[in-house]
Amino acid sequence: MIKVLVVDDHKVFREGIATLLEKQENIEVVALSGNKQEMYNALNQYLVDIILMDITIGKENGIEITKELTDNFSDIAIIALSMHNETNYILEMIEAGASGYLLKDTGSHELCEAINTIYNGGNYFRGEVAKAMLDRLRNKQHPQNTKKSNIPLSKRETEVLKLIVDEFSNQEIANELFISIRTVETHKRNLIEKLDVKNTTGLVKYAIKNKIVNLD
Amino acid sequence: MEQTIIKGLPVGICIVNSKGEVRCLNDRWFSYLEFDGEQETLIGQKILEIFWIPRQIKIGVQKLLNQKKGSFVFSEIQLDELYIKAKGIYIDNSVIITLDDISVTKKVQFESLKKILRAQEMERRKIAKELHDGIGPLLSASILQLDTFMLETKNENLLSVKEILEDVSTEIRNISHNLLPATLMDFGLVKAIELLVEKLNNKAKCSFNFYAKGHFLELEKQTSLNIYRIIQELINNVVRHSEARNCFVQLIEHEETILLTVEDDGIGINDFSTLSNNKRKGIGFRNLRSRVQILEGTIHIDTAENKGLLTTIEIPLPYNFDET
Repeated sequence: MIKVLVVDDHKVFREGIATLLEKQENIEVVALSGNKQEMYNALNQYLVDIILMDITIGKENGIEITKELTDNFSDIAIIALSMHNETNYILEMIEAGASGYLLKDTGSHELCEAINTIYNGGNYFRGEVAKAMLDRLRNKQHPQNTKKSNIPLSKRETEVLKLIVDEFSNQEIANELFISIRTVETHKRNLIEKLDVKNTTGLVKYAIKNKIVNLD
Repeated sequence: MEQTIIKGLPVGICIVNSKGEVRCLNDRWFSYLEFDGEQETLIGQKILEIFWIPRQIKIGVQKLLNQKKGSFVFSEIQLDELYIKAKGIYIDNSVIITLDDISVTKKVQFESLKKILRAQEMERRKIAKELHDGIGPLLSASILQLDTFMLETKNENLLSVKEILEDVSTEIRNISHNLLPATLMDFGLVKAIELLVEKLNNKAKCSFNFYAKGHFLELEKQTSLNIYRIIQELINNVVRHSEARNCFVQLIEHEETILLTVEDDGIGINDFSTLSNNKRKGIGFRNLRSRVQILEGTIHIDTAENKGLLTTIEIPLPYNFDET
């Protein structure tokens, strides 16, 4: 029998999950907890294999609780069961040590599948959750983020930087690019701050060193 | 008698004859315009040649002198910390100009704007929380119950009901997220904007890039929220109107300010009046301006037809850090 503990601050939801899981032949719901204290009480009383953990538990944070648990009870696997489908929650939960992440509106079939998979030592990230993780991964490899230098410059910033190297004055840059002097100054200020240099000379050095311009 | 009345008036006053020469003025006029010379030296001088008189007022006076009738009102002239309302009228071959200090009214307006926006956000937060934490779990529970029931009875007839409930659940999550992005409150400004950009990159035609440099986790919650809403509005405008292919959003902390720039390579705006005349776009822009005003920041827009659009918003730093 897989022994499951449900941690969620909504009674209706806890009980709904329990009714559902009790129909399974190999799963036993040993306790239902509405907060962290109740959860620790239950852990002192029963042996638990898997905890179904909400993220927003009243004022308590399921991610923090998960960290605590993975540090102290390495034999218990945790499945996040949350309303949040945003990438940051998913990633933080995985980092905290969760072996699976399910959205609260996933069907009972997936829930049971997740419990069985994780009980047998696997991980469970499917559907929307897997997609969110992939999106983050793809975004990290976005072409503009992996240029030669690792600080991304906008199109305008690159143009301004090239003209600075060509010794254009602010006014000349403004005329050349059809923008106001104030905008040229904004770009310059941002460039200096982003590239961590002190002044225009620093910008020129940076542009040459990182081959943003080619000197003939 | 006449002099005493003018001296005692609760407004700044200056009377100019038909040639534009100053005939008389009072102390208040001086104090509002922060001129500390002798009153007498100004009598007889041409008002249009007195350098420290605001340009708008001179333009108004010039107009009245030319027309020999009419009046003008400038409801808000900013002189450093002071907000002045200026009125002028042509009577009896003279122009009478009055100045009224409206700084207190302005301050009240600013404070109430702040309160309105804060109340609006609080209300949004409440509704978002109730949807997400109240109705959400109830819906999830009913989907699970229905699911169990269907498994037990091997009855597939309720499948469409379940699908509808699932759609409702997704919809509630989206509404709640738009009302208040939970990521912003739990993970801070930068992560929240990353998520916003990430979501758009998956569906919008325009490719968004976001770069941040600074200590934005230390920002006050309300400030973060305002900056987030500003970026949201600017990005929405790019998606809806710009036809841009690339958009670069940057949030960079400088010594004393934060510079927020949103740069796109779209069609730009040819004529700014279309922005304020278009009712729907106008409201968005007004909200944006109010938020920038609350952060005591400035907006600068640089655009030309088919030359893209760059919005720069500069927000002063020290006031907006969380001191608790």
